Amino acid sequence: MATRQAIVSIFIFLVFNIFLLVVCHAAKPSLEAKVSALNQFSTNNKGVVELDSDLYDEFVAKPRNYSMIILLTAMEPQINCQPCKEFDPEFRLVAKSWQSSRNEHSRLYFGILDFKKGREVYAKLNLNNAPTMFYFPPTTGPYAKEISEPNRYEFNRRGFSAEGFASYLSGHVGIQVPVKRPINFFAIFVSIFVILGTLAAIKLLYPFIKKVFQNRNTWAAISLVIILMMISGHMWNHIRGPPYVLQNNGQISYIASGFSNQLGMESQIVAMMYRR
Amino acid sequence: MKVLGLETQNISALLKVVILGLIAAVALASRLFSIIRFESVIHEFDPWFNYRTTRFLVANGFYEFWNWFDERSWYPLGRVVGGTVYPGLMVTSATIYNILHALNFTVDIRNICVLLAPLFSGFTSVAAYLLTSEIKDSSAGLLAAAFIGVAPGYISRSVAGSYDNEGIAIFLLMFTFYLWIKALKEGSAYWGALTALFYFYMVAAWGGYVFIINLIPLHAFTLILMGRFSTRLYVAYSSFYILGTLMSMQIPFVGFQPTRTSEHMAALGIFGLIQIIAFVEFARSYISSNQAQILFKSFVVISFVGMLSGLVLLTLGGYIAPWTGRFYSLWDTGYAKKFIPIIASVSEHQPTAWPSFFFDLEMLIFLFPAGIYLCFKELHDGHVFLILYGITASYFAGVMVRLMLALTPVVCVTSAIAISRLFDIYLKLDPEDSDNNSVKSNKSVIDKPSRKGDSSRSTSSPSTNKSSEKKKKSEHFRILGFDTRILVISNFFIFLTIFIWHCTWVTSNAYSSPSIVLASRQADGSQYIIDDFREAYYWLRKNTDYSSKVMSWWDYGYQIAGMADRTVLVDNNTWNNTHIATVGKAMSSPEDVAYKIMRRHDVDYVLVIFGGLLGYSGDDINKFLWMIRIAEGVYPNEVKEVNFFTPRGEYRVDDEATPTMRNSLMYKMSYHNYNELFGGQGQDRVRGARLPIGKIKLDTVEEAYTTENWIVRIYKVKKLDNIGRSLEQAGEFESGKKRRKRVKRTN
Repeated sequence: MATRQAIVSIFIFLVFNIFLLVVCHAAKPSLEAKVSALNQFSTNNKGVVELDSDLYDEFVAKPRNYSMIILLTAMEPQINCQPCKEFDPEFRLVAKSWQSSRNEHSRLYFGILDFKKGREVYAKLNLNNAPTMFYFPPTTGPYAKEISEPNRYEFNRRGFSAEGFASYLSGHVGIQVPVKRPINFFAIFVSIFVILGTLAAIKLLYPFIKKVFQNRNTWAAISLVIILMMISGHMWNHIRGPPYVLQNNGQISYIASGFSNQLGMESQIVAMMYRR
Repeated sequence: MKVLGLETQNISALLKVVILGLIAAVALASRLFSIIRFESVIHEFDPWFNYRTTRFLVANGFYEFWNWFDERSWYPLGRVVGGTVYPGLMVTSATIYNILHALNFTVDIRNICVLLAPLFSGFTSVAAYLLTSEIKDSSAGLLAAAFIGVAPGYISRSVAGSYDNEGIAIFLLMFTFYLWIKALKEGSAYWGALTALFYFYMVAAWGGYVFIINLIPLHAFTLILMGRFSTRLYVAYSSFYILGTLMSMQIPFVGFQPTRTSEHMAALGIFGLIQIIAFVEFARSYISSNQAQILFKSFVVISFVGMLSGLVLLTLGGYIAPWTGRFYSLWDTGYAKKFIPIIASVSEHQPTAWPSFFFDLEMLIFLFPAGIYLCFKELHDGHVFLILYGITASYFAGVMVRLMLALTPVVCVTSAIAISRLFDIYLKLDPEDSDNNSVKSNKSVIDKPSRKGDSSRSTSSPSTNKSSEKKKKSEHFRILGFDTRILVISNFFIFLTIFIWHCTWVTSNAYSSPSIVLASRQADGSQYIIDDFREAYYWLRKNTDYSSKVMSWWDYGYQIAGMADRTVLVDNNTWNNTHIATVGKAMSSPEDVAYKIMRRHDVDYVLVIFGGLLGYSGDDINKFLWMIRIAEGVYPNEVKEVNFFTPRGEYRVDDEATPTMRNSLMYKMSYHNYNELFGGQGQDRVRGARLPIGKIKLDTVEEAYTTENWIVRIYKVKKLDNIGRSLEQAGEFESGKKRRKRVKRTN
């Protein structure tokens, strides 16, 4: 008796659902169609959905029962966008890690829109710098957020690394987004080889190295170099990453104006000056 | 030889005392610019807290101070002052106060506080003299004393009125190092215990004591690696470490940190290592077979590695706290910017560009490497210490402008060594005399290695010494020419004179401003004093209720508590990031959100610093980005930095300012009524912008006071409306607008 009741209620529920679906379908491409398209795109391409302007509009349009992170980039060589090239592999790494993790894949999709294919989107969003990345939260379904406005990823603050990106995503999606860097066996092998080689070389050349190692002048040289680097503002360069020299009206200026400003070159000039 | 009926030795001793006394007097005098220019006031921010606590200590006694819970800061949390300060500074000035009063000198406590740092800089030059003469000789010592007396890098922290921990801490740093060198030289537990005593004083005075407790173990470790372990090192280090650690744990703010945090683990590890080595040396003196030697050596190495991994495991297991953020940011220089914006926001935590090295140390910075090189030439235990100190301090000074202070002493000492060595060579009139001297010094060099009993090195060193002796001799003969000497000496005389000039100029121009009183020149060249800060604080003191709460950005917390004597929400002791972020959120939110926060925190007055009229660039609008950043760190969904930037990524206050910016409480309070002052469109002189036209409407706060030059603006937070309207509606009603009609709902 009970089972039959259950079956009946499921049946009614199904009919109701189909009815709803039909109603929705008449209006725009259904959510299911979008999700299945997204699934297909992302599984074919290691977790990344390559977009163009039309696809962008389609997937970003509400309702969404998924989160979508979209990277607006410009990979064409003539644009020469260095940060785009730097970030692209990191983005794909996170997408791939997400794809291979045990999480429910349908909650989050990774889209890339290249400037080449998406000039309209760039124009529409009034964007004139790349890379730009937006996170689109879900608007319906169990994970729907109150805020449906897209959120912009701040490259300045969170950086270009996969880890920073993943932690940003984790915060927004609500589950841990993993980063699985592929193990570079070649690098490991090389470094082991180098270490063994150096050890062997040290063993062989020990009498000679010992002399260098115990020589006062070696240590004097090392410490003086460290001190000179520090007091000539190398640390400032390291932290702030200023340009090496500044092009100014066609002339190269070596010394930056302002009291707490300097250029990369300056520190070397100053360091040279110390060695009178 | 007798001069004026006195032995030359006595004369030189007398001269030394007189010169040193004069140097100390000069050190004190050159720090008095601020008193002469302005008046005897406490400067800047932190000194105001120190001054306030000192007054409390003098008024209520030591035990009250120890248990002081300050409910007038960090409202509503309060702050346990006794357990969160380094009390050395306050206790020092209270002691001086009590002594003077016992002698019936009724000096005001403020004057003691103002003059404490100059007084201690006099002591510092004496300590520098002692340290340098311990390492080289007394003439180098006098030079070092003169250098540190006037070096701007140190003056910047110790002018009269800058009543801060660093003022006495540099003296303690130098004196502790002197005692350590002395203890190491003598190998006596007496000097070791004295080192520990002054280390304790240093712990009580400044958080920078961590530098000592890491540098001395590093020195000991380096000496061990160089094969210079001796019973002297053992006695000096063990007595210093045990006594010093036990005493430092008596300071409540330090407590059990020496046993539980990574900053102190190096000292503990070296202490363990030195015990093991001492034991092995002891055993070695009874067993002498070759195999046993190898066994001992490997025992030392294995136990060292074992201890190291043990420490790492304990840290990972959470028994030992890892490096705190402040220290960690010294190693990983990008760390603070990412995770602790509140540390990165402070201007003195920025990396140092080279001009400021030159500005703070002038020619000493060029002599510094030369001095280090000369240290390598001799390389006794003391020289090793100077080299290590030089390397570490220059690293720290490179990372943080503020730590220039720690670098200055070693730069002074090493440059003094370099210059005095130059004078040694060029001023010696009698060539034979100098030859005798060099032989004598060589003798002591030869003595040294033979004492430590390492046969392989002691055989090699005489030969190198002989060669250097030869070189020295030839050098002496080469520079005998009188003209050469005159040239070099006069050159350096000019350098030294310029140095003194530079130091005085820097001191009087850059470091003598109290920053609570500003000075500017008028068109006719006369001085114009801008005293807005004290005006505003005095207004608060006289016109507001004693229990009213003032909200401002944390920079002004200490000053408000000290000068206005009102309760503040946050202050410069930035222990609670969330609370600061809450204030930041209130400042960066629209009025309705801010009003809720202010009501919840019982805020009566809000104080903002506005420099637009005068062109004072350190105002709140320029600091605003940090408020937003810090607030965003805690409330990422409610405050967003991006919204304060124009689409082109600019931070603007004029017509193009974003709506979020223009609706923020800070913006409104800064520019409220500003357009009306200009009769149309206000001109912001700091940011060089013209304000958007139109009146800025404030509903939840009302202007209570604005100082003469508009630098400080105080707003009173309105009470809730009497008839239950929102304050915005009430404001609209007041300004004569009609209430919008509402469609009555039927249900």
